[in-house]
Amino acid sequence: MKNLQKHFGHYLIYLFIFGGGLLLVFLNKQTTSIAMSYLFVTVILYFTWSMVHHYVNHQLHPRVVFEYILVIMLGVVLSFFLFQV
Amino acid sequence: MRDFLHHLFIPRASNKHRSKLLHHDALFLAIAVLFAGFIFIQGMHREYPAVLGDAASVTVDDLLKYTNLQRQINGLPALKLNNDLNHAAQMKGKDMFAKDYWAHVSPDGTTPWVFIKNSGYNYQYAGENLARGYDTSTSVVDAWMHSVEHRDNLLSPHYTDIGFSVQTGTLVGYNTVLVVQEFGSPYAVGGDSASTGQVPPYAASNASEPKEALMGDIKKPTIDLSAAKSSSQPLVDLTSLKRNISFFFILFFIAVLALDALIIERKNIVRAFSHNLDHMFFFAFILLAGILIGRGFIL
Repeated sequence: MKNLQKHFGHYLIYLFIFGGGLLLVFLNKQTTSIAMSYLFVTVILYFTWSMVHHYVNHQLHPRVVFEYILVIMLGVVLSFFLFQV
Repeated sequence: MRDFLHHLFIPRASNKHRSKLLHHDALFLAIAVLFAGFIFIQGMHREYPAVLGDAASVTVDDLLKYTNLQRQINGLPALKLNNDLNHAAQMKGKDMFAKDYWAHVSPDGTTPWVFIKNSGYNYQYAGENLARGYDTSTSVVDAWMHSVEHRDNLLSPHYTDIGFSVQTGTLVGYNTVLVVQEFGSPYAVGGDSASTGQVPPYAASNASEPKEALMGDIKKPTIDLSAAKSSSQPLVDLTSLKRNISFFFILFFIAVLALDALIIERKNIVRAFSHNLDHMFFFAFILLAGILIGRGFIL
């Protein structure tokens, strides 16, 4: 909770990225390739913004980058199961 | 055992105050196991489709029933099942599987009207709805009803007849249940040709074409309706299995991240970095996108 209060702006941008991504996915849900493209773009934006945020806060260490990459890879593998394209 | 579970889930000194399941090596292991699982499931599906395949209970009877129910709710007359349109739908489905396309018009430019005409149906108005990946007749009709253009076809007062085909096969790389719905009104019966207002997803008016030119010397085919239903009923439904595995793991990781964050907060442990909320947002996004996209598609 303290973290949320301290980095409120950071989470607000996440909300914007993921909210916008979900809206675009929803609007294009019948055209799988387009919906998947928006999903991919959202993931890229998530990674980019996370790196920018940690860089600004002087926390951009290889371990942090590696953790985000692992979590994104996990999400991508789970997407293989989830989406029939 | 209890100690081991605590080590896995509860942040404490033994796991450097971060759930062991969130350590890099554990995440890497999870990725490797899930990826291997995915390859295994796909392999099982290829080798043993009767065990792990695409289950569907989509039938022509139910599709007709639910389509006419929607028309009845909207004050429209019921459509009659027409053998020629059934045959056209069957041919269209076969053509889609043979040429591997997901579109109203085939890669070589063949329109749905060609299949309708070749089946001997002399139409004044015609239309087509397509669906794939749905497992019940109601979900197919519901999906069409939630799309303005498909709904317009379904509830068009111009149509009097309808035909369906439900076929299982590999389309654009995925084993799927394909539903083709063809609408029509015979040339002699339809309304005033000047009042044509029919719209896509795929609809045509043939009012200006002479009747003789349509009929030609085409033989009217006979059709076995029993073939026009999905016969694929494997032991385990592949799509449901994969989605359930994915939902389980996403919710599991969200729960582990939430538990880890909660305990750290309660114990007032100061960590150099904490990205739990970031990752929870990310997993929630994948989960919601999966729910939104669903498992079926219409065209």
